[in-house]
Amino acid sequence: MTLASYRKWASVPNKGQPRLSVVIPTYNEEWRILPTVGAIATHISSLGFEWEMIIADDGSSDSTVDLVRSADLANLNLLVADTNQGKGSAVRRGVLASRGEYVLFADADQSTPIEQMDLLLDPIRRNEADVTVGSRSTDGAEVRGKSLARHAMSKGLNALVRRGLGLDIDDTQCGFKLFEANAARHLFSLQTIDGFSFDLEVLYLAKRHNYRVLEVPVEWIDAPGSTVAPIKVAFLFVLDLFKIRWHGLRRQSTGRGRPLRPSPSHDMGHLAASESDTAKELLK
Amino acid sequence: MKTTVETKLRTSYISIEGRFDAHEVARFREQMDDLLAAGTNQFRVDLSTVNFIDSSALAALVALSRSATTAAGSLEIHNPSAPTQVILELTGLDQALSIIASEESSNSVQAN
Repeated sequence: MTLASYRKWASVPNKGQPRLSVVIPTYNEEWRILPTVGAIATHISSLGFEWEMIIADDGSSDSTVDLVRSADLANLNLLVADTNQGKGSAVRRGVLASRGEYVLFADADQSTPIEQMDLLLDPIRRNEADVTVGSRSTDGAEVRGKSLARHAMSKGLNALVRRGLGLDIDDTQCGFKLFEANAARHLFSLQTIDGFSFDLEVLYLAKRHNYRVLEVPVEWIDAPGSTVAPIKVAFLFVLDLFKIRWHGLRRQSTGRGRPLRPSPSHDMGHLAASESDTAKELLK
Repeated sequence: MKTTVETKLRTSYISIEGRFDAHEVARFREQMDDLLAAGTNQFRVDLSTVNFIDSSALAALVALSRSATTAAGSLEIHNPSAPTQVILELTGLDQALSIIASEESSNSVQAN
């Protein structure tokens, strides 16, 4: 049934609200995008519910957009940007355009095999989390091909994140995260960082707004061709960390973006305590 | 990725399992070059248990097809798994490579 399910998804538009939206940001991914689309589409179509794929292109100058368009898939929504604005900008456009009950953000390189999504979906379906974060650092994760430089950089930056933003998350940067739809749209409507540190900001906002975030160990295989320059990345990351704290302080002082989780299960008593904790952590 | 090779006369039956990506391509090419050098010109590559194939691996298959043709032989892809079949179609390589599809693929194509 797997191929038949894919062919139906590829040719027949969804009738109602899709259960899942998969957002894939792209920038000059002509070499990788079609295998990634194929792998994701085949697996998710086999799960038996309606879903949509959103390719949020970030001003690619190669043939990425043409390749995706030529695939002509009925439930693939291609978002095109005139200029390259950053990965955060692309993911934000994708998430805000999504219609699914759940929203998965997945990198275009298939570093985390799409089959791992099932692990992220289960806790949200069981109402144990609002956001699940694929993690390469928690017990049970399986990481292959990560260079020593990237490994050292991750360790150092994670320590900074813990101290700087008070986030108790081992891996903020894995490009594989799943959100309950209301949480996704709320968080991404507040999120402002256009660069690659957007994940960090989203998780920081999730903490401030009392969303339940759960780290889930995943398999991760380095995709050759990832051109991460450790020193430059570390510098930009720290810069973004300051920006996130600054934005947090401004929201705090102006009262904008008041911590509020728009969920029926929201507990106001818990909110007050958390607000106070947030202020403490921002001022420390 | 796990690769097994069985050779009879000038035909090699190659079975690949797992993720066939850029990490594996160099070793695969080396193995295929050794087979070519030993006289193989018919390549039968089974992809029924490949769960992901990337562009580097697809390029390696295209190169192998050319080498086999140059040696007066051929490359056949046998029973591609569902994701592999879809990736071959999306990249247009289902038209460029000789594919002997599994029963499910054949039925699915006929149904459309």
